[in-house]
Amino acid sequence: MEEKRVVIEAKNLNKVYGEGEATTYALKDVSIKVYEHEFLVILGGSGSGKSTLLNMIGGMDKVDSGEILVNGNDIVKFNDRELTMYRRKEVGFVYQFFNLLNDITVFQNVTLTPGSDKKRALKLLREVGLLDKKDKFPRQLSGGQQQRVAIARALNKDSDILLCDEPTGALDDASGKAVLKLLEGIHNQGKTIVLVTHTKEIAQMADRIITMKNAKVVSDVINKNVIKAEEVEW
Amino acid sequence: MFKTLFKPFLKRFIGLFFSMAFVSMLSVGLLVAFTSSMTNLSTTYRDYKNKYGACDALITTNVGLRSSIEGLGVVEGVEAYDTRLTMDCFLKKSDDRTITARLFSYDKEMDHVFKRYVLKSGEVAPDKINVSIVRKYAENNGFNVGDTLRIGYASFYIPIHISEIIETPEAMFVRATDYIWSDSRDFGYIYLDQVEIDKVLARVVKEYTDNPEFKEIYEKLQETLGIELPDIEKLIEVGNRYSSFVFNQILVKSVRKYDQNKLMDNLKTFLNGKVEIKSAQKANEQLYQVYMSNAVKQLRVAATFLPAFFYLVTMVVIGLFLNQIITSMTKEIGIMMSVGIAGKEIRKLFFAFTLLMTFVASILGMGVAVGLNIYLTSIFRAAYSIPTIPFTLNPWVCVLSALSLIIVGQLSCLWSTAKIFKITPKDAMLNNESKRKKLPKWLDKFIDKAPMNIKLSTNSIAQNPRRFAVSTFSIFAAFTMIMVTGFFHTSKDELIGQTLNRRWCYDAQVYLTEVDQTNLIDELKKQPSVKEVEEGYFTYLKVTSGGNDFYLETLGVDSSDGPLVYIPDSKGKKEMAIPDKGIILSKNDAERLKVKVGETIKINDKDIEVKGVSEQYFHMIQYMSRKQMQELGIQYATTFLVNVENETEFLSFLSEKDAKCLTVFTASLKKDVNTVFRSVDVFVIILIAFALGMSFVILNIMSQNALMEQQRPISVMRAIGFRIINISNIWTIESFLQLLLSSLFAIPTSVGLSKILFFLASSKAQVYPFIFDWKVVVFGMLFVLAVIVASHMISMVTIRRWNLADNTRSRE
Repeated sequence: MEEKRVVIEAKNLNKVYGEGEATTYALKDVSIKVYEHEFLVILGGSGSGKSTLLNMIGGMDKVDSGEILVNGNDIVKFNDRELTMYRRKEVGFVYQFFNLLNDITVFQNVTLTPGSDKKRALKLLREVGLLDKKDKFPRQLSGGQQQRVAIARALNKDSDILLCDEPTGALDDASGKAVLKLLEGIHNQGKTIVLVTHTKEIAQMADRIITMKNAKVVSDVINKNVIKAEEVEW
Repeated sequence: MFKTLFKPFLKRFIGLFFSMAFVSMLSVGLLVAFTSSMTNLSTTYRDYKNKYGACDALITTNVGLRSSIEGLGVVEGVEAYDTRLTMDCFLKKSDDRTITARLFSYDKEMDHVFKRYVLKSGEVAPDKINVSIVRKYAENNGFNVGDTLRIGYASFYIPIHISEIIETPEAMFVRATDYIWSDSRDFGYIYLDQVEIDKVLARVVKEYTDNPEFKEIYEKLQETLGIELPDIEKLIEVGNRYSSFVFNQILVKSVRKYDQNKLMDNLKTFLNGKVEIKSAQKANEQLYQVYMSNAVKQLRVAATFLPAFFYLVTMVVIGLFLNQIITSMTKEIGIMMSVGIAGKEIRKLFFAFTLLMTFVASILGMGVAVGLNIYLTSIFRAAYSIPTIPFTLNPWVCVLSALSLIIVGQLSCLWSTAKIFKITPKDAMLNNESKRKKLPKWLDKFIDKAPMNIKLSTNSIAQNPRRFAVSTFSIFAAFTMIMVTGFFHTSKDELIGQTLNRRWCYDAQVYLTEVDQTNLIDELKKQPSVKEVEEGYFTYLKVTSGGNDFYLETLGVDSSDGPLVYIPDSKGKKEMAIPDKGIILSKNDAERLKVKVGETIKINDKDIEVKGVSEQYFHMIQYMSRKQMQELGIQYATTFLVNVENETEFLSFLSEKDAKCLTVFTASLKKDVNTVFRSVDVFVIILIAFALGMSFVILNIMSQNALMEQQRPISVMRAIGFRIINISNIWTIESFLQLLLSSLFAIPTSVGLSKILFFLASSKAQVYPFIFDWKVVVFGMLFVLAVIVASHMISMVTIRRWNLADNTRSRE
């Protein structure tokens, strides 16, 4: 098997919320690796720590202890400016609830990232099937359409890493499948995707599945029966 | 990115934009108006004074020849000087009522020392005696250019023709003292050119030759005196020749920055032996200059402190509003950060927003300033007789005020947006409902056991203590401002009440100008036009204390039990009795002399004990018994206080006695004091309106903020059957707490602030007493309560309009 490059490596991550009797461990000594071009799913129930882990990798939250190496750089040691540049250039993030800015148009949302390419934005909107909606506002779109805009925004940068936190969580089946299909297409183009979900069926799309429970990694297995997006039923 | 985001950002918060602009506009407007009108007043007064003959030294002498003081111009410190003749006379109005006037001569060629400010001029009739009359005198009596009046004494009057209406600095504050007249109520200044003085004398000659009565009076006088008087024709001839050269006043303009005391000493040394000096006043002793400098000082205090306070409050308000915007945009900020937009880029939006807002507010504020400036200037014109106080806004003040507002806005923005850097993108994108702050265990237990309303209310506060603190602060600020202005109003009322109503409880005070007027007093007591008379000894006593001499206005009366004498006690409240021996000092003078009750001072080289101190706010005067006065060598009554039954008959009686007395009616004094104080009421109303307006805006914003935070739980409560009135009870408890807390701090703060402001505004001649009045507190509380209730009602209307389905659904 070809040796794949590790693009993300998290080592001994710990994250605690609250104090005293109200202490909650969101991550307990978690270590994972993400390989280039792979489709990794982090599977777990509510409170397992999967979203927390993704937020750490995405530079969205601070770690209490541990290391996160992204392309060899430990982002835990980054200052605010470095983290901003990391989020701007190194990773794209897709959220469960889309997180578009409602006061600007679709096109403006996709080009929101500083330094993003307008031509590429139009191309991405065409690819996600929403070029005709580029001048609409998010509130004028359906949930599925909004999520596709969010994906276009996340891809409108030079990064090869896409992080997705329950991207289908707020969508109906049809919209959810459409989004999964889109992600599949993106993966096929060579992007590294890390997707967090609580749905086992969606996890079957992954090359590898890491399972979390009670803030710990309980398993890390290669998925031998990878299924296509259209085959996913939940 | 900035262009993309700024327009929708501005559009979304346009309501808040204009709320902030409104508050800022008021601050800028107030600052510019107060400062401009104050600056205009003091600058105009200074220029007016310099240009139009306000002199640095005014010396009143006996009548002398100008040649006798030749060489005065080279006395050290003297830049220029002029002499003039002044005398008091009667003036007959067209209705034959006699009023009084002071005549001054002037020399047109000496207009660099004395110059008239001509407001209105008419025909100069060569065959008539042309005079210039001061504007206030003309307005009070209905005189106009072209009118003919008569001036003179007793039954001898000559006609005069009004050719000009003018202003002079010395006419700004006129008080009738020292000379003989019957009615100082309508008293004013008339100016005559030297040429006109010659005409007066020529007229006197004509009257003499035509009027046998005049000749008879003069011959009788000669017989009575038993001496040979100069031939009247010779006298007039000499007078005619020398009329331009006699004087009884010297006006001196000093060399710039020359020491005024030294100037006075030099002048007195020079004049010693040449003329008899009756009085000598430096610039800061001349009545109108004292009056104006006090007025300017008080206005300066107001113009300094109040706008500074407004700016401080504006800075806080801008910060609050920005905080609210940031709170409502927390998620968007998180999204922006998550896609790699740096915190400082996000901050630029707020800086730009605030910059635009303060710019707009500055422009609008100038409009407010213009209107307010016009109003304040009209008040000043009425209160102080300066001919042309401009309505202009000082451009430098405008620019600096606008710049200050912009800086204040940017500083507020800097402070409010600091928290952008403290949140992580993940936290920012989480639920907008704030996390509940940790409370002490005992409070948690109390809340657990409390009824539902208190539980919800306390939870609301615990969820966002900052919002609670900010709302409480806005109530505190409004409450403090209302109370400070209320206390000032009370102080002013007390000052007026004590002075105008209690102490000046007589209609007139008659000053006797000759000694031993017992016959006059006896006659007066028998007059049907007089209700009550109280005799007194009035004089300026020379008091020595601590090695220094002071001249204190002192009244000696039989007893303060008489209806016309009221001496306030040391607290200014109750009446004080006059002791048989000793002196009662005014509190202000006691402090100046540095003496206390029980200590002694030297009066006319006698040791006199200070038996009491009287708190007087205005027109400070000392009191002692008649017996004590007599022991000090004052043997006769020199004044009496009168309550008048019939003013016309009273004046008519006094007119015959004009050679012997001067009358001052308290009505005219009260009118002058009231005019000045009326202008203070304007400030009071503006401040209260500003305080209430601002607190309403802030409270409303904070309430809306609270509603936003609590939108989901409130909607859930409504969905399960809570009525709006039940929900409003939660805020009622919170408002009650806010009112309680703000009162606890506002009351002592307003007391402290008031005391400081009153101290700064007070002077030697006038004190603003601090009086704690519970009515002010209650009044302030009611006003603030009204604002709280109004913002409550708006919140309830908002809740009523919510879509419960939308609000209870998941976040997106």
